[in-house]
Amino acid sequence: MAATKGRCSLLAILPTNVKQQVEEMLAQIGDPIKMILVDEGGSSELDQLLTELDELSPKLSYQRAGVADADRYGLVEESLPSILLEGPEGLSRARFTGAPAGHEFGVLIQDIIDLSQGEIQLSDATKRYLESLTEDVHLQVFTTPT
Amino acid sequence: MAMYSPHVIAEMVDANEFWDLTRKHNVRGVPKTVINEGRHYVEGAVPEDHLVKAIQVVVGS
Repeated sequence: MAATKGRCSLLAILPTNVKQQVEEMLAQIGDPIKMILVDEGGSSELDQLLTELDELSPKLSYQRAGVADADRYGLVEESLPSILLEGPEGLSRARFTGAPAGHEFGVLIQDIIDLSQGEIQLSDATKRYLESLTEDVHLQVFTTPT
Repeated sequence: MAMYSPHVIAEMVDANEFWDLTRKHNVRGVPKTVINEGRHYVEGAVPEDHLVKAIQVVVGS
């Protein structure tokens, strides 16, 4: 059993070798980042995953919020569970609807790092276009665990 | 893009978990990007400029 901040989990979500790799990546974190899980509560693998991630960096924290808080985070109940990231400038507008499994887990880690460093990896042309936007754009990227 | 512009929200959606959305947007292969609740779609992984062009279809240049 692994004792994790007062909790015991019989089986970790992240294998040991993956935890080591992720811990090394998270050493790149600049400013502190908070991961926020908004869901219906109860036992969940997503809660356990984020709890394990939380333990891999002192600059990472984790907060769980319930359905009653969905509106506050700009979410609807139908889109739960959702993972949000909060950085030095507030809530990121990039979020995860459902579990970030497979390739998407790597995207979550990279988003945490990018948000903490203020790194925006876009071309100058894209940045200029985004600066010209006057309407809202909602991008939903559908993926499946691989 | 969502980290750069206050006008953009980017959401990664688990297609297996959100069947209603998956059916609504006829997601048969992934990744599939839905722009503004279905006003335009992008199939597959595409370069950044391709996605910008797709956004322009919806909200203009």
